[in-house]
Amino acid sequence: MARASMGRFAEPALWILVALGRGPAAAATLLVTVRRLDGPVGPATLIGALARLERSELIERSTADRPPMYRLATYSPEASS
Amino acid sequence: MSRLIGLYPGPWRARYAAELRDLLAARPPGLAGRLDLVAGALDAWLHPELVAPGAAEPRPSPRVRLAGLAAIAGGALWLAMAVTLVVVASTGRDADFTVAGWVVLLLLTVAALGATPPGRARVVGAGILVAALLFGVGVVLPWEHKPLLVVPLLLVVFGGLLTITTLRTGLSRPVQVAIVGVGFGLPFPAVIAALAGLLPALASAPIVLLPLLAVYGAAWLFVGGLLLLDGGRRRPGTASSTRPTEVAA
Repeated sequence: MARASMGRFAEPALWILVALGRGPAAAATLLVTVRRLDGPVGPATLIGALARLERSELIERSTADRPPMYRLATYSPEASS
Repeated sequence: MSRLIGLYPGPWRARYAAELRDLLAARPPGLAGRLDLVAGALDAWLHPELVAPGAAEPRPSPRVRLAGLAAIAGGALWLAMAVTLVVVASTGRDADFTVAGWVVLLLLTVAALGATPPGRARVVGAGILVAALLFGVGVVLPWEHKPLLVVPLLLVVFGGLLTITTLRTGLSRPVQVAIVGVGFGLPFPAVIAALAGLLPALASAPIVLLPLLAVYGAAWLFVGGLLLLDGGRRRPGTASSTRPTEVAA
């Protein structure tokens, strides 16, 4: 698993994971949810947090949808060992 | 607002620009949102591995890093010259910048040659050499009309060097045009016109020249910093849009 440093993106990333726990969502929906949970978050910060979560293989991005949908990554014991 | 998206690296734009445009269209950002976009662009440049796995591992080629260092050194020296020139001019004295000027020109030439793709380096190098020779001849010759030769060459050389080096950055073409336009296209003609006596109001207030001269040095610092960070690897449109965690269907 590729680890990505979260830095200032840690808190939005946490709330993104919480939001995705309810089901797949597009970036626009996530922005609304994260703003409700975490206060004012800029769109670039949201995208930066999404990129880090994806890099860390904690979430997946579907290219079949327009706009792209994000969802929690499927847990794989082999990948984590 | 989409102009700010142009600040992001090409691979990042290829992957996220459409989503970001949708977010911005749904809710146009205020000042804080614009600052967030700029900070996000800086973050994207500093972390290329986020959108292109493996991009951060290979170091930028020594050639491009040297170009970046030369651009930063040349830009810093240019800024120092600009400040000194204005300070000295405001006291009514003269100063000789011949040596410093040639050092700046040498550094910027190294930057441009280092930033030039290897296949074109010979052509670009020959062009710079011809321009430099003509410039040197123009300066040395005791010819009353030599400004007619020297000034256009000055514009071609300093503008050309910045253009060549800026083209190596992974910025979008409109942003590259903006850098060259703001850094060179606007200030240089004004400064030359002032020094030639065509703009007496500008020439009589040397402090006004400082920002005009400074933006050229600032443009080189910016471009040099990008080359050091990015190594000129990321070109617009060259990013793969597929990553291991993407789900195709």
